[in-house]
Amino acid sequence: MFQMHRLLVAGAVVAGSLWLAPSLASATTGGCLIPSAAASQYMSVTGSNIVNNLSSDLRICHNQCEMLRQGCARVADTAMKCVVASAKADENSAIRECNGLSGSSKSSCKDSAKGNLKSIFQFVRSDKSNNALPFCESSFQSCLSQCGVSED
Amino acid sequence: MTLAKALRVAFLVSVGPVLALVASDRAIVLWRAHWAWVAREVPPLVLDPYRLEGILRSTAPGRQNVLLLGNSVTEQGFDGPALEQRFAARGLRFPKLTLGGAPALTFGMLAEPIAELEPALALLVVSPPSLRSRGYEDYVYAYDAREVPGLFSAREWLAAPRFHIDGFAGQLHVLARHRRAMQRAALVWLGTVDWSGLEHQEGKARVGRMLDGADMLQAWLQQPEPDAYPNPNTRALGVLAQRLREHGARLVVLEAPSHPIQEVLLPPERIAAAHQELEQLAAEDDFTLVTRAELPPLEEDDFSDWVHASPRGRERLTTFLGDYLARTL
Repeated sequence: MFQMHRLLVAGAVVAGSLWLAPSLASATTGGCLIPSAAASQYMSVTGSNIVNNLSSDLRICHNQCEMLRQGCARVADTAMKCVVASAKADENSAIRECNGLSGSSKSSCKDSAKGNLKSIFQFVRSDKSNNALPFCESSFQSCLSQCGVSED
Repeated sequence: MTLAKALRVAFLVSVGPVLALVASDRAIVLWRAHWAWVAREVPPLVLDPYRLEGILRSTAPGRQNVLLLGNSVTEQGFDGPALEQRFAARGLRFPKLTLGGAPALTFGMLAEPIAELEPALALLVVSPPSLRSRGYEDYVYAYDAREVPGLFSAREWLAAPRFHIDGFAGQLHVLARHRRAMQRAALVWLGTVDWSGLEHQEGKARVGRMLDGADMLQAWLQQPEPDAYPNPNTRALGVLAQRLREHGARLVVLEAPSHPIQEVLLPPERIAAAHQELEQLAAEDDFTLVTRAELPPLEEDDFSDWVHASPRGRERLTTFLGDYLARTL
């Protein structure tokens, strides 16, 4: 019996240390880019394709650059909407969680969830305005500067 | 202390913990009601590796199983109950064995337990990021040492010994692979937290990783060099196809649907390389490939973000899959 007791204690110690050991990472998924990353990605794929095939006709070349600017801005805008929609879905689950509470804690919980969404919205809007769109604009200017430049 | 007693103590100290570990693992693994609870109660995209094992352990084997395998693209892309309703006369079941962010290697590691469900067919949804040659190890939550020789070259094994050691520990003991999930599930069972709370925590973490540029799509896009094929993720298709064949079933690999914006963001040469590899593997490893070109054309409103289907997209993809299965099964 004494030996069985020691066996159980040893087992409890080993299993307990496994139980309390640092936790594993969890699974992840996601499907958006932030606006600056999306604009950069657009420029490295579609944008570079446009820039590498600029027409020698000045008018067509300007149109190509304009297409690049609009495509880049559209991607940045779509990226912002994508992130906000994902964050909104997260806010909905946060609010469902808040509904399990009552009284003032319920309303402060909801305020906190809305505050998180607002801060994410502000972050991506700022990323779009301060990083993505200026990047699109500078890429456009760089594109224009290549119009009419002979490769000879 | 006599020598005999000292030897007994030494034996107990050395063997006792091992026996206790084996006993605790077996007690949990053979606790069927627990796995049935996990399969029934744990929502998708919260404690996925734990939930997946719960579904594997509590699904009855049989040809009525049509398995839907993959990551969150599969989870959100197909409506299991709608498929069950459509094929009710034939008694087909559509268990979803999904794991958020899972690369294809996950299903190579799970090939044997998946095949043991003796399905009529298993459908695995893949995309170029899920077939990547680098940076996938942190997203693989299943391990089977018996499959390693078929999945990894010696060089690949040596490049990531930590992955294999951690994975093998997880294979050996249920607490090594699921302790965090079990702790959280225990809190739910005790009523301390509820699933919506855990869903919120995971959702918040997902948004955080997205803002940090650290999720699967972003990591793949940031990878400077093109993927090398074959790699453990692409070999997983062959291993899974073979295990399923041994159990009289067929693997169908479906290329994930593509959001229109992917056409202007994803490097076309990397997409083409992944497609070409899939075509070649389908011929070599004898599985059926359903290409992206065969899917119904999807618009922006068919997606909830740039990767996952919206309710409208899910309905269209489910109809497509139902029509495909009606012709195939």
